[in-house]
Amino acid sequence: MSTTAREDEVLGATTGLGSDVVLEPVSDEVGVRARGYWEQVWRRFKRDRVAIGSIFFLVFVVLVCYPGAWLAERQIGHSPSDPFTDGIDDGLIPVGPWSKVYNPFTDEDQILVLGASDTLGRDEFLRLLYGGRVSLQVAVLATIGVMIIGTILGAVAGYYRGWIDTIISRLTEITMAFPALLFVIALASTVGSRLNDVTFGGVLAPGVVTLVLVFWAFGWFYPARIIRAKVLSLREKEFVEAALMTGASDWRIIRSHLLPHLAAPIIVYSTLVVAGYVLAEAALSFLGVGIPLPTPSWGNLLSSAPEFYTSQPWLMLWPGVAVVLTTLAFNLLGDGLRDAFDPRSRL
Amino acid sequence: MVQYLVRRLLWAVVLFLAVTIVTYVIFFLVPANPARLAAGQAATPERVALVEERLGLNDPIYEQYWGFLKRLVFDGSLGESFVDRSSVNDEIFRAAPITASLVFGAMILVLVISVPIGILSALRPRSVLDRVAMTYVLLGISLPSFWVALVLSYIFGFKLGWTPIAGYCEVVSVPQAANCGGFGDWAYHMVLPWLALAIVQAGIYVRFVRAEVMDTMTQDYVRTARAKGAPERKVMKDHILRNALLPVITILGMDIGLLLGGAIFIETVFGLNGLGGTAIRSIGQFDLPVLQGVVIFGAVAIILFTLIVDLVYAWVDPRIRLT
Repeated sequence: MSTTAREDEVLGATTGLGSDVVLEPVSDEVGVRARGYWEQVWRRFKRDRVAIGSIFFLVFVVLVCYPGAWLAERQIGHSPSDPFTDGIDDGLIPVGPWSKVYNPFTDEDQILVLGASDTLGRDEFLRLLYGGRVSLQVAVLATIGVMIIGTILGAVAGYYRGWIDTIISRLTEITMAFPALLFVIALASTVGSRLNDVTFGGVLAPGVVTLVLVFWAFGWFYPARIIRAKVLSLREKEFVEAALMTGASDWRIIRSHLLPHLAAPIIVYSTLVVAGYVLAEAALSFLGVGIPLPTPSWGNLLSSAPEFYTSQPWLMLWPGVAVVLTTLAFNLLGDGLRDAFDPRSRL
Repeated sequence: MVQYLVRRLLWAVVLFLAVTIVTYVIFFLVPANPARLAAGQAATPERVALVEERLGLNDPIYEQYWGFLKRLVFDGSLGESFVDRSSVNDEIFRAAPITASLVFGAMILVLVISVPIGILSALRPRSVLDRVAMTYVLLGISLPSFWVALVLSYIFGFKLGWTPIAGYCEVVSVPQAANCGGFGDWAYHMVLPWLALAIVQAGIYVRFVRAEVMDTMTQDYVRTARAKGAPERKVMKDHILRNALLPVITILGMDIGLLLGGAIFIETVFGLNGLGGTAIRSIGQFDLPVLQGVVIFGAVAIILFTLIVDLVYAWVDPRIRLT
């Protein structure tokens, strides 16, 4: 066995919950190689067809929303914000799927694949695709921020304990006792109008920054609790003691010895959290305190749906199904990852 | 027990202060000038200045907060609506019973759905029922509650016409003008909202009940009970379920905030004019005192409820107090 493979192996064994990795005394004749931690995780994950399917589905969603929305717009010839007078019928009800409308700008008849989305007769299909971008932006950015804040606070509280832990834990308890949704609504509706215009030069949709910040404010405590509990038990392990003895600094111990062990919970938990934030964006926009119109998002597409509850129930279906399938895929992926990281967790 | 009680009460007071401070600060971040809102659209600058003076908006923020807290604690007053000068308290007392019937009804329904399913699937892991239950759990965390509410109301209310799709009926003190009232009408109008709120929540509880029961089944005292020759029914009832369901009830008590949050959506969908409906309406009108009142009332309700659940739990299970 070559030295590099041996190094990989050692690396694999130390980066993670590698207690079950057996490092045999390597005699050059024996071709048996112990599997590294990540390799084992990957082998288990590969076999989980549901989780792999979820990954493919999520990649599909991202492709459809990012290059897909842009391509569809080019192909169809109008933008998601273009109103069509033909898009509403005499009763001011949006037309149903596959309706032909006249486009005065191009002087051509065009097809609204999923019908019109509102009383302005805008294209539901394009709005759904562009709305997916917004929903994913909110969910992913919220998750990244929440996990970073939560991991840092949780690790610091768990590692240093003492007064710093007391402060962070109390803060956690206070945040948890808040009727979070009421505060989120209050915040989004008051602070929102100031932050809605922050788009970082058009990279993000209007309103995304507000939602993301509000989610950060009320979402960090959950990962913080999980990470803190994990760090509390890890810091009693011998390898931390050994590192301390060799004179490693606190920062080095947290970064090189604790963080690798936290990778599994962070990855699993992030996936589940993303799902939650896709739902949360939909929920807040549904109430009218999330993404402001005319920017489409899955949530505000749903919020205009009840208006046509009896006449055009399709409008409830499309964004609803998009949200449900996406959250379902994230949750299934999270379950699959958890099983792959820790086979004992499977019941 | 007394020490635990005192500690727990003090903590509730700290929470109350934290909640009011944060609420107050949030409402200071509002872009619009509160005095202008209170004075009305057509107010002259002099009038706005007068209102500013009257509302004490020129004082430093901590003094304003102190005044607000004094009024809240000693007079129990949440202020007046900007829109029609009516008392926020009245508004909340009108709205709270609607939300309360929604939340408590849904809470009971959550238990009715999740406890039997959770127990059965814990008893037979990997059975067909268990797999179906786990799918339900997954759907429970993936479905937006308001969307479920919309779909339910479309199918059962609109298409099948089995239940009303909107409205609320008083149980007692039915107003003269009301066209419905009494327990039957109340429940008939609440069935769909209850179901919509509970069906999504219950998913998470199925998993929780299942985990608790499975965990309890492996405990030593269960084995001891079996070894003594206790009949299986008795082991199940007195040893397993009694210990497994206690934490479930506590979690449900702690989750009242979640249910209250969920209630906002259900109220919006079903046109119930409860706390959620009131909050959403006040956002539209920039009626900050009402919004603030709802937030504070909701927070206090949650703090009190968790306090009661904690105390009852400590009383039932002595192990809690000692930690």
